[in-house]
Amino acid sequence: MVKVVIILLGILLLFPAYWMLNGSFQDIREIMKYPPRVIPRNPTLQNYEFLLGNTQIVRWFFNTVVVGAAALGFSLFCIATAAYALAYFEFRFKRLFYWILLIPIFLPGTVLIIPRFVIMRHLGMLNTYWPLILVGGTAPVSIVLMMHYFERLPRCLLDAARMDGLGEFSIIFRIILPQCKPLLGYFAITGFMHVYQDVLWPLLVLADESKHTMTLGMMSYLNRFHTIHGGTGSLLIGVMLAGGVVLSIPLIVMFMVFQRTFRNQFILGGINE
Amino acid sequence: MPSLAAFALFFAAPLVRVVWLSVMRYDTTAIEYVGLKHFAAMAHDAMFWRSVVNSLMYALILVVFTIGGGLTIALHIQPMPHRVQDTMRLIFYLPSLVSAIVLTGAWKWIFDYRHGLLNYLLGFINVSPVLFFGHRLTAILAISLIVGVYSMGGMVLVFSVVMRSIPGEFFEAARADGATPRQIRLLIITPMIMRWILFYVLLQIISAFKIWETIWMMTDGGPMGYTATPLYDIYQTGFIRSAYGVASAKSLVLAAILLSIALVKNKVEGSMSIW
Repeated sequence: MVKVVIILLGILLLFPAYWMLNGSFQDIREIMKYPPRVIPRNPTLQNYEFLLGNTQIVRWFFNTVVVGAAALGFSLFCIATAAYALAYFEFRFKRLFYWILLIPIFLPGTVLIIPRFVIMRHLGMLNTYWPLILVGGTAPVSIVLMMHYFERLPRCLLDAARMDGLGEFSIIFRIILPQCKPLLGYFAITGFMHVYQDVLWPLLVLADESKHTMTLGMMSYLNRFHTIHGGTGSLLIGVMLAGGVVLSIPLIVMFMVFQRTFRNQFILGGINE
Repeated sequence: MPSLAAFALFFAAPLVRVVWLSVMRYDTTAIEYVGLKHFAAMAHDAMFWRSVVNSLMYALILVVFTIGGGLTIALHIQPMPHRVQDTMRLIFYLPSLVSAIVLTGAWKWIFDYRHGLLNYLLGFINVSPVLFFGHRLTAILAISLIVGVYSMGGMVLVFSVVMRSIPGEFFEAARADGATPRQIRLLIITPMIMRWILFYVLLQIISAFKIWETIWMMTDGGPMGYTATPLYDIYQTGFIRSAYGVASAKSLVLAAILLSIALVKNKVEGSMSIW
C-alpha cells in the first residue's frame, strides 16, 4: 500500500518535467488539443525557433556566465579572507562579529531586500551588474562554514608559510585555499546556481532587458507577454515549455559534471537555505 | 579586510537601514520622519495579514506534503541496497534540480482551464472544469503543489542520508529483538533523526513565507491577494507602489514573525529530552 503511494509520488514529481519536454515539441494547435497528447504526433522545433528569434536568449546566457563568474570570484575572495581572519587572528569584538554572522540563519536575506535596493540606488549602481556581484560577497553562513574548515587545517602549514616569508594573501590563496577544494566546489556550484536562478533581485536592479540574466530574461519576457495578452496565455505555452527545457540544460550539465560534490551538498545545503 | 567592508555595506548596513527606513516616509514624493506610523497602519493592512495567513496555510500543507512525504519515502527506501537507494534518490531529486520556476510553463498548462490536463482528468470523475487560480482554496493548493513537488526531493535526499549515519548495531539489535520493519521505522529511525526533522520543518515553514517566484509567474498574488506571501506583499509595496518605508516596516514585522517561529522550534526541541 505504502509502496503504491511512493510510486505515485515519484510519478507526480517527475511528471511536470516530462510534460514540459513533451509540450515543447508540439505546435500550438496540438497543445490546445483536447484531450492532451502524451507524445507529440508531429514533433516540431518551432517553439525553440521562436525563442531564438524573438528573445535575446544568447545574450542573456553570456550575461549570466560573466556575472556568475564575477560574483563567484568576488564572493570566494570575501569568504576566504573573512574566514581566514576569523580563524587565525585575534582581534577585538571577534565574538560579537561571529554572533552577528549567525543571525541570517534565522533571518532570511529577503528581509533586507528593500534597504539593499535603496543603498544600491544611492551608489548609482542600478541597472549595472554590480549589485549582483557585490551582494554575493556577504554570505555569512558560508564564512562560518569556511572558518570551521580552516580551523581544522594543521596549524604548522601556516607557520611554515610564514617562516618562508609569504604575505598573508599568498598564504590564503596559495597555501590554505588549495586545501579546501571540496568546500570551494560546493560554494562554486551553489553560488552559480543562485545567480542562475535568482529572479527577484536581478529583476529589481536590472531595468534593461539586454542586461538580464538568463532565467530573469526568459521569465520576465513570458510574464510580460502573458499580462498583455491576458487570459490563460495558452498561446505562449509552447514557448514557455521550450524556455523551461533550455533553462534546465545548464543545470543538468552542471549536475552531471559536479555530481560527486552534489552528493555532499545536502549536509551544507540544509544550513544554507 | 575587504570582506568586512562588503559585509558591512550589504549586510550590516541594510540591517540598520531597514530599521531607519521603517520609521520614515520614503517614496517618490517625500522623505520625512513619521515615527511608528507605518507600524500602526499595518495593524489595519488587510493585505499584509492576509498574506501572513496564506503563508501559514502554505506552511501547513508543505510541511505535511514535503516533510511527511519525504520522510515516508526515505524510511521506505532505507532498507534497500545502497545502489538502488542512490537511483531512487536521484529520481526523486530530479525535479528539485531544475527549480520550480523552470517548470512554470508545464504547470500553467496542467492547470489551464480549457486545455489543461488536470481538468481533463477531473472530467472522468464528472467534475466540471475548475478555474484553479480563481478560487482561494484551489489556488493555494495549486501553489503548494508546485512548490512541494520542487522541494520534496531535497527532503528525501536529506533524510535518507541522515538515516545512513545511524550506526548499524541499532538495526541488528532491533532485529534480534524481533522488531518488525514498521517498528524499526517508527520507533528507531524516526526518533533518532527527530532533531533533523524539526530543523527541516522549521526551514520549510520559513520558506513558506518567502515563496515569490511561483506566485510572480502564476498568480501575481491573486485572486485578491489570497495567494500572496508576506515577501510578495513587501515586493508589491516597495517596488510596485514605491513605498519603501512601509515595505521596510513590513520586512521588520516579517523578521519578527520568523524569529519567533525559530524560538518556538528551539523551545519544542528543548522540551524533548529523549536524546
